[in-house]
Amino acid sequence: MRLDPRTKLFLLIVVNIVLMMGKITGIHFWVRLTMSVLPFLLLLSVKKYKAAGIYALAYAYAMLGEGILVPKVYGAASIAFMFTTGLISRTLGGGMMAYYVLCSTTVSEFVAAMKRMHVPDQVTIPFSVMFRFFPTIREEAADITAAMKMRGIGFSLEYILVPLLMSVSKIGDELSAACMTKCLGINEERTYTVKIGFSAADVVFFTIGMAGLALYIRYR
Amino acid sequence: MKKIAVKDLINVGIYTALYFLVIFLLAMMGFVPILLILGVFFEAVAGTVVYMVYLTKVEKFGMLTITGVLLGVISVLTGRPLATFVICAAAGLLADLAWKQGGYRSIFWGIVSACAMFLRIAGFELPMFFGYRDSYMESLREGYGDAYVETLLKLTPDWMFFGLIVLGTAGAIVGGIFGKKILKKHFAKVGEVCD
Repeated sequence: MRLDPRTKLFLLIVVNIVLMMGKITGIHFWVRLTMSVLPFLLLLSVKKYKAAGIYALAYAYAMLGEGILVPKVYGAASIAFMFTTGLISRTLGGGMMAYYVLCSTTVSEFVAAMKRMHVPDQVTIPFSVMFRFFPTIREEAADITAAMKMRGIGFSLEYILVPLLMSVSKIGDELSAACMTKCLGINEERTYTVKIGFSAADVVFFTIGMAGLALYIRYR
Repeated sequence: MKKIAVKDLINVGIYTALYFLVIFLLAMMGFVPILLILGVFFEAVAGTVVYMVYLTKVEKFGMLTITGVLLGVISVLTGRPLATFVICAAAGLLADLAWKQGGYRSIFWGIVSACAMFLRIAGFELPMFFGYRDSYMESLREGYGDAYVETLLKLTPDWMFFGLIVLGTAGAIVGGIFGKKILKKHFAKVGEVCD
């Protein structure tokens, strides 16, 4: 099931808004529940079963915690506990949604969508570089910490940041060179081999998103 | 005013990514209320170190504004009020102007620029103060429980808003100095220093 990148972005915003700022009582409970289930379904649709499973478990934990235990637990332990359930119910949905968007959208689709929305190149290019770069940063950081372990060096901000910054800057130079060879310029006409456009699935999800947002606003 | 090229846009992308990630990861400390406040300082330090290296690549007007815009978009995409987008973009613009003022070389203006960029954080904490406070606290209460909220309330009278700004600025200054030291120490060899 393919969703247009624009629908995904819209859903991302809605899920985050509703989950982060919504209350738990009354109609909000159902709206938030729906919005939380959404990423779960979407993750399944792209075969990310492990992520979906983890999400479901974590969320069940958070919901049970919030619903049953919040009124009853006090003291220092309660802060930590409260924090985890609160954090999960507020941010995990959004995080999973973001993960879904990142997994299911290719860079070409994303760029094409941005162009359709008339977002200027000056924003689109850095934006896509950013997102493509997050996993790269993670890899580099992992390599660096592994290298540090090999040498038995302790954890220090400098020891991690500096190699990271150096490799990042090198990657940046290589990227630019690669782009030049592909004739990537600003506001130049480009051919897209990717097809994006709204389909029935988009209409469905868009409506769900709109409904959720409307209910959230209406009953604030 | 020189035109921004693809190479610059790529740098904008990667350094904004790093800047954001470093701050975001440190921000996860925010579960203990006191760390939420202190964390601002550390985020500013770490973020600004990254920022200083970024500045060595920034030589054209507009790049920092784009960084601000990008950070603003991410903020909205992660569910914060739309106002934060405006704040982030404005912070980016200020940072741009400051760096330009420093002729893209002066450390002093570089630090000013870093402070401006970090000011966007102030936008995030806005809900806690000045009138939004009560409804925001209420929603927190249900999710996080009473104990958390009580502690938070005690720590954040209205003036703390300015306290956060001070913390952020102090952190940015410290980060700027660290950044400059690191640049001299490690990057001088690679010839990437800006004086």
